[in-house]
Amino acid sequence: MGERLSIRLEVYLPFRGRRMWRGLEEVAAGTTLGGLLTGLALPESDLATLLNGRYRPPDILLAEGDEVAILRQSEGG
Amino acid sequence: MDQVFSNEQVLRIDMGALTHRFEPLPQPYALLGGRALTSRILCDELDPTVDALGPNNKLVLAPGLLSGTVVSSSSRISAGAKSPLTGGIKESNSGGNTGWRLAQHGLRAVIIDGAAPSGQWYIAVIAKGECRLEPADDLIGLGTYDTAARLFERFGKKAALAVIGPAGEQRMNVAGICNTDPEGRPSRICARGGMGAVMGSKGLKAIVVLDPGTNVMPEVTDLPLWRENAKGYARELAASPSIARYRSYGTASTLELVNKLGGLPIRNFSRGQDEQTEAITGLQMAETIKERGGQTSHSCMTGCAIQCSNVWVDLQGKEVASSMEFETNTLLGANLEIFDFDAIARFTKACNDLGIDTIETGGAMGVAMAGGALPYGDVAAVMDAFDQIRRGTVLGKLLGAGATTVGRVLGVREVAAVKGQVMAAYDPRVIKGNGVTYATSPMGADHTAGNTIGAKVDHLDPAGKVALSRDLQIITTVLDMLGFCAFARAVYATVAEQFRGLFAARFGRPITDDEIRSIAIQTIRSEIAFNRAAGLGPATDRIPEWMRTTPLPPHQAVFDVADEELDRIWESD
Repeated sequence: MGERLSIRLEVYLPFRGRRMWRGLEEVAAGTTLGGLLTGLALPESDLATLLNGRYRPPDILLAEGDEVAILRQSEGG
Repeated sequence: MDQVFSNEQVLRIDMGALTHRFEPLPQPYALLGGRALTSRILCDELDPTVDALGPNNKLVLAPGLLSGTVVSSSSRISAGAKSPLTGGIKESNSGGNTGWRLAQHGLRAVIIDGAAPSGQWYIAVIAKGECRLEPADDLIGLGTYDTAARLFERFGKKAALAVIGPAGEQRMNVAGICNTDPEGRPSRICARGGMGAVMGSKGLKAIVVLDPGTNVMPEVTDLPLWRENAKGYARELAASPSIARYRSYGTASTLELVNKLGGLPIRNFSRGQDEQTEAITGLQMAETIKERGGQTSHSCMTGCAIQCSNVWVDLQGKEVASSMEFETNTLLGANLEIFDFDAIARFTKACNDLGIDTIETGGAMGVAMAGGALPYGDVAAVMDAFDQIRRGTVLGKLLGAGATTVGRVLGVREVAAVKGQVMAAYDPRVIKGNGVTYATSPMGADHTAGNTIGAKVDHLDPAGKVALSRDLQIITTVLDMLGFCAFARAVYATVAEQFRGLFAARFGRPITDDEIRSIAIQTIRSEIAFNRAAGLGPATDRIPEWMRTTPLPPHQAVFDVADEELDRIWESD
């Protein structure tokens, strides 16, 4: 088994049977932000994915202790 | 440019002489609507140095070029005038049914000039080719809801109303013009920039636009082409996941996004993130509305398929306010350290009834709290402040003057404003593209001039934000000109052809994307020229200095887009 990383994951929509989901997530070293998103297979599209509070490119590698937040994209009128 | 012939008219109302006249739409205005038309008329007819609350200012109301039909989200109304808040040109945009009804009567614009003799108040009643001014003595001092109720009783519930509340009567800078929604709530407000104060300065309490009868719509040159393109646009709206989201969560879900980005105004723009905002997220709002039997989706204008509006109800299921919006939830909630939807709903209703801008009022109260004139987190104190605005006490008038004046009076330097207008719910130290919009839009710190929050970019990085803001300011001006809601921008890239098709069907001539963009850029440049002549020099196109030096937690970010970049934003075509 390869090296594992622990990240904090926050999903601001129904996920894993909850109205929203927050917790620590173990991922394989070398996992990218985009790879994580694909693996989660979320039920909605066109979401905002933030790494440590910023939009980052999907090919960026995740690091120990990172925070990934997945939210609905919207704006005020 | 080819000539376009139209039977549409412009209605001029002289409040000084208490007269009116209908004029044919001037040929140079044939391809202008909404903001493009309000600003063009003001630039053509107004001395930029006039007193914004004097008889020589003009209030221009204009529906969009494509308004007046049931094509979704296409009948917004623009209210334009010299702003008493910014001292520059202003266009303030709203939903509701006023724009729809004006367009159905063949009116491209209503221009209100002069001022009624002191102490006299009127309503203007408008139908096709008809206008009359009637005394409004029985309406003075009433909130917008009671005003609307009396006017619907007199003119029928199918009329559309644009009314001012007690704040507009008192000529407060926070006053807007409240347009009625399809159910008759005066809750869709041309809110920003004090347009309600300008209407009040003219002695005009309300505009009543009568029902023109069934199946009336503006002239369309090619009806089959119109229907084909309307269907294509509707299909795209129906297929868009982001539009579907507005029907479930409205604009309120923006709060969790901006909080997570670290750019949410909290405690008078002193923090960008707070765990207490969990209580006022879009998800929480939707769940509570469903539990209590309210409406999570609602059309603010007839025919709107986006349905981002909602109806908040209390524990007994009784309506409190429509609509709960992200900007309001933040400026009158998190910014005041109030994390309670039931309180924010009462604030929203109070603002709608007073006829005031929730953003400017929330900003003013935040500055008042920073200056010690109001306590943070105190719901009762905020409700009392609304009452003071209604009664016109000294504190009420101070808050009604807006955040910048409150800061000056109380000695608070931390006022998040540009050109005297408070910022919306995106701190520019983090959402830097919106900082560029706040600084460079001739409208002042108005996110609706070009909101960059929807771009999936690193908002903390200043690189590229001038170009992003510029592009969005142009697209937004195009949508304002056509009469479309800014949320139609979600599908604009894919339906630009349908928009051009609707235009061609309506006016019998094609229009290119370059032509549309050119009108938008010309509009913005003419607005800037107006501001310069009004005395708003380049030094006013700046984010306040304290936001360049005071770091915002949690990112410890400052606004760092270079001034030279801001100054060049409108140089290229």
